[in-house]
Amino acid sequence: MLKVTARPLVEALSQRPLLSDGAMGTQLQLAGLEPGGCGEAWNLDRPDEVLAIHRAYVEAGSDCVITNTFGGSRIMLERHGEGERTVAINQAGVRIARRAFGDRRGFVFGDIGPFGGLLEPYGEMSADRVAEAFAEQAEALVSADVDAIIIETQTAIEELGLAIRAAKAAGAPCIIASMAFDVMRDGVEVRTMMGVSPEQAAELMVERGVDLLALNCGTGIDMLKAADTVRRYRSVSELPIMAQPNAGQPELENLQVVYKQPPEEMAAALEAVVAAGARIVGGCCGSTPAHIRRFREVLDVLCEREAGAR
Amino acid sequence: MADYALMNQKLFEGDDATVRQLTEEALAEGRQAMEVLEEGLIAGMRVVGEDFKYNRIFVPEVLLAARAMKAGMAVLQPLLTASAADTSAGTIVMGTVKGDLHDIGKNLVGMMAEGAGFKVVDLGTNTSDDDFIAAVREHGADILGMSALLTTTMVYMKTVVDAMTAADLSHVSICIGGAPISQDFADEIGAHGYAADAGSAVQLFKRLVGDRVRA
Repeated sequence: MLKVTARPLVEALSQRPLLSDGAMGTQLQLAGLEPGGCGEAWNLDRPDEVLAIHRAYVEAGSDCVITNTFGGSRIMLERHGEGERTVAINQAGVRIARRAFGDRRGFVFGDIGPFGGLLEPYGEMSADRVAEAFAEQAEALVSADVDAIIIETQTAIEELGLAIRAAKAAGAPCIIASMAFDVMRDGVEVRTMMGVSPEQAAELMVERGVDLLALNCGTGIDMLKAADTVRRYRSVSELPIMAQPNAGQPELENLQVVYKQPPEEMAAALEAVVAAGARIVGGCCGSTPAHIRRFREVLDVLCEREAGAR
Repeated sequence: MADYALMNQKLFEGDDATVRQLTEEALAEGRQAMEVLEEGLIAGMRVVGEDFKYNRIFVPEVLLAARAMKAGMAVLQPLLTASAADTSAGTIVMGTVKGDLHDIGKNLVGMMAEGAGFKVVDLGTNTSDDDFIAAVREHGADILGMSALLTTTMVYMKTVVDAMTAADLSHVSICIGGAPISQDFADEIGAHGYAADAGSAVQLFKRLVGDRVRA
């Protein structure tokens, strides 16, 4: 059977900027996931809780939701004794995310996170094993009908390359590659933990044929730093860009860690990120449906302005 | 002539084969193992730590340098052990706290500490308070090091600090680190030290052990 190759996401992006969702992990913990527990297993064991989180984002105005499969590669799941359920966990993650949209039109991004270690020669893990794990996860996500695969929180060029190749081979309709940059000691430069600059990352992404360049999470990356990084991506490539910063830096309150950047503050800087060239925006650690709701308001104003200017 | 500058350079470059060879050569020409360790290996790792701290190099370079250091250490170890002199700068028990499986940063600190002459007992990831305490007792640790990457698991450090006090081990210095950790957090939970990077962590360990000796 001929596979339909239309790419509604790319088409939609040419029309207007899109809003992604906020954090999943912190929301799962609010719903009772134990620290260090396997949140991805909830796709099978407590699907209603996962659905409720996705729904809260869709109701807040997300156009795109990211599946609860960040730690869903076999290598990560094996650490929790869940390796056997790899394919089922990933497929269920896509189904739940799709259900969250109900009758609304929306995009489901199948999430692939880092495998959680270091590749040879820096660490013990062979590239073959990681490639195999990414291939399995990417195939499971694509078979459940994602609109895109998002490879998130990457810090190493080699691992990023393996994940992109896996997503390509699985026939992902769209590939988003997202790096986690940290602000360096001088407070200006950003690099990943492994020393990769935004330009280096962008060059590899372009060379490997991804559809969107992205950044998420990262120590010290607030909205303005995200805007800077978007500009650096833009200096390398004209491809659409996605940005998902954290809701500020984690702070301690009564021995509970809180991300305190309020929705208003984060949303106020959203325009700078969009102006820098981001075409999909969302939030990473600590961001909530309340943040996304404020983002929606700001983005709607920007969309109207864009439409008016056209 | 043992060329320690070259050895430092090769260590910095992560050239483990050459570091091993230079270590052997230095010993063959009659240098003391302790001298080779200090001037050839530890001095090299010090530069690595500094450059890492100031973002001149990154995790991959540090890992390769640490491996080169280990290659040299493997040559020196039998001699250092045989000399019976207490060459250890101190004993550190370390691990990533319960609920947390991240260990890249913790391993880096462990390697750098070994590079600075500490005996390191690594308990791995997902370590409970009982496991920390048992290992601290068994090895007579001077320092307990804890790591966490997740904001949700870092609070477990407080549990361990309290358990250490309850176990009458408050004389052991507790050091913590990890992406979400800060000096404020260390102060709040009663840890003795915090460091932002692996090189600074080693400086902290040295200072704490020095304070213990003077006390």
